[in-house]
Formats: sequence, structure tokens, C-alpha cells
Amino acid sequence: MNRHTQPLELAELADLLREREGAPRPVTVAGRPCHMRFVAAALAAAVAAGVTVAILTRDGAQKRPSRSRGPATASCAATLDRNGTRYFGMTLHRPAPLGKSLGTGVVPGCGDGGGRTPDQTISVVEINGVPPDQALGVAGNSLTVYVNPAYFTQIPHTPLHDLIFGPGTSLPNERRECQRGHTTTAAVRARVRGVGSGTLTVTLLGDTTLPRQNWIFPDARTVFAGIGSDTRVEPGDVVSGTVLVCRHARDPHFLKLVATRLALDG
Amino acid sequence: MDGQALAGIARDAVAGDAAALARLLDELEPVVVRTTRLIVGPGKAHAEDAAQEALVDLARGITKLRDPEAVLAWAGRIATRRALRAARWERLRRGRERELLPTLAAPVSDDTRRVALGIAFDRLPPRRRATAVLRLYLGLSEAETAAVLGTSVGAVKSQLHDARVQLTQSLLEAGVAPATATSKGAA
Repeated sequence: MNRHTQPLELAELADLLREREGAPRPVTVAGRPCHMRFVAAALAAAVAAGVTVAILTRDGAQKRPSRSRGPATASCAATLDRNGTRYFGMTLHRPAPLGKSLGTGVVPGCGDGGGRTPDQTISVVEINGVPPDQALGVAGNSLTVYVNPAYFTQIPHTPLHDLIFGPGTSLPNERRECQRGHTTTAAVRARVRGVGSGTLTVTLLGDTTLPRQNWIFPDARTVFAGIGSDTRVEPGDVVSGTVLVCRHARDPHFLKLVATRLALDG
Repeated sequence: MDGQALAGIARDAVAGDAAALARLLDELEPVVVRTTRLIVGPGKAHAEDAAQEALVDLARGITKLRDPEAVLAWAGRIATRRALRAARWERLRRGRERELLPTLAAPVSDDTRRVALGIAFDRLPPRRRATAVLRLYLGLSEAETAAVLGTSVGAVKSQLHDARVQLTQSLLEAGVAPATATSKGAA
């Protein structure tokens, strides 16, 4: 940082913030209908009634509406329910090889303060080579797939990986931001709080100087010990392994844990 | 609503009045939503989620509010913590997409300076953004900002100064002339 550069005027920065503050209430975000308008009233009612805020979830799950199962768990994210499993929608860069019909699934409606959109029943199909428990296709749309978040997508040469990342072994690569000279390694043990296609939201266990509430990012170069294409990981599971502790020289707040080895305990 | 009225509602909410809590959350929602949005970034789903989580925190933690007069700072603190966490997540997951953001070198709007400044602000590290939001948007004092961020007053001053310097440098790199100084910054 060049300390001799004239800093931006405070007034101009304050003006910028006021210009960018946006609407006072939550808004629809990029095709993801907003579900927050009812929060205040529902919260007050929940607190008054002495119940948990789990009532905020549409699916009745005993958890708060957070990203605890990965980045796509917001109530109005693209999801598909079938046979008691919730899958999360993804858009592919190449068409999926669609197979035989598997019947129907339900895309849940989105409940927000402005009214709840109705559930939508759609025809789902098998994706050739991919177990239906792991991912489903949509009839007539080979670029959209619904993936079960309980499975790792990062393991090369597995059906899910190849479906999403192609047959190569270099993707996904979570290490691009790990700068040489500022990256160390650490042994970790952690309880999984949420999982989104193999990206783990965790609470670190034992002695550690790292923030306990953290994320572990496996990638294609991670050595998965005892974990295969059919291994499920669920909230409450305990994982252990080694991670790259990636930091940035110019940003003391950057921290990313990339798994180099990962195993499920017990 | 003025601060006294807000404090009164907060007092009733702390005492267990559910209607007051609902009204308090309704009053605080714009501040919470805008704070998380400014820190995480506009148009980010995680900003909206962070706001929701902050509102949940506010509702659950209302009985821990010791000073109803400071309810706005309390809400700002909770929103900021949630937003910083969301910003970190956003940054980790979207690192590769940063390359796709509009480049500073080619803003196309008539209001070139504002566009470039907005892009530059989104590229500030989250804590610098948070410092700017707390000081200049929520109007917290340096001491209050330091308490929210768990840092020192000196660090707050430094963060805000560094943010302003970085913004100026970004403007210069974009070929946009900095504004003529009309006053000395008081950070």
C-alpha cells in the first residue's frame, strides 16, 4: 500500500455507501426468489411461543435456514425432492447423458412474504452412469442436473465428478488462492455441520489456533482415505485429515482450508 | 423513527413483549439488510442470507440486550459479524469469478467515476468494507466500530485510511482522476 497516495475523501465514500445501500427490504437475487420478508413477524411469533426458529424452514427440518448444507440451501434455492432426498440444482457446461425415466420429482415452491409459489412436479430421468441417489436429470433439459449434496463431487474418475467437471483430473482446483510462502499445513479433526457436494462446513475439534467455525474445501488433488464415490457424508460426521492453511500476504483476514487428505472417522 | 422511540420499543422487547419484538425487528430490518449487503456485496445471495441470520440472532438474543439505548449499534454489530462471515465465504467460493468482474480499466457508464468506485469498493477486503460501513454508513464512533470488529481504535483508523487509499489507487489505475480534495479526512 502506498501510504503517500491521497486517500479518497470521506464524504465521497459516505455518498457511495448511501447510493449503494439498496432497497430497505430483502430483494430477489439473480433468479433466486427471496424468502425473507416474513422473517420479522415469524421470528417474533416463534420467540413468543418459545419454539425454535426451525419454523422458518419450508421443509420442516430441524435446522435454521442457513448454508449449513452448502451454498445452495437457502429456502428458495433450486432444489428437487424425490423419495425423501433433497437434491440441489446445478447447470452444466456440457450436456448430461440422459437415460430412462424415473418418474417425477417435486421442485418445492418458494414461500415468502409476498405469497408462496406452488410446488412444481417435473419429470426426472436417470443420468447414464450416475446412480439416481447421487444425481438426477430433468426430462428435456440436459444441462440441468440435481445433485445429492451428501456425496463428494471432487473425486476424479467417479461418475459425479465426471458429470460436473469432466473426465480430467485437475478440476476442481481450490488451491489457486494458496500463495507460496504464505501457506502452511495443519492436521485437523472436525465435526461436519453441513455439506454441499463435498464442501464441508465444520466445527474444528481439539487444540487449534484456527477459527473453529470454518470450511474445508476438498478438491481433485485431495487424497480421500476410505472415501469413495458411494460414501455419504452427513452433518454430525467427524472427519480428519490434513489441510493447506492458505493465507494472503496482503490480506491478513484471508483464510482458506484446502484438504490434502481427508478421512471419515468412525 | 428516532432513537428514543426505538429504545422504548427495544426496552419492551427485552421485557418479553412479542409485539414490541416484531416491531423492533421490522424497524431494524432495513439497517440489517443494508449493512450486510454493503459488506458482502450487492446482488449476492449470501448477503440476504446473512441478513436473515442476523435477524434470527437479534430475535434470539433480545434478552441479552443490556442497553436498549444502544440497540442500533447492537444490531449493527450482529449484522456485521454475520456479514463478515458471509463475505469470507463469498470470497472463497467466488475467487475464480472475480476475474469475470468488469474490469476497472473499462467502465462504460456516463458516471465513470461512480462505476469505477463501486467496483473498487467491492474489491476491498471485507473488514475494510465493514469498517467503512460501520463508521460512515451506520455512523458508529471509532470506539464502537472497534468493539464491533474486535479490534483497536487505532486499527479502525488504519483500516479506514487504507480503504480510502486503496480506493484512490484503484481509481488511478482505472484512469479516473481522483476528486479534488476539499477537506481533510477526519479518519
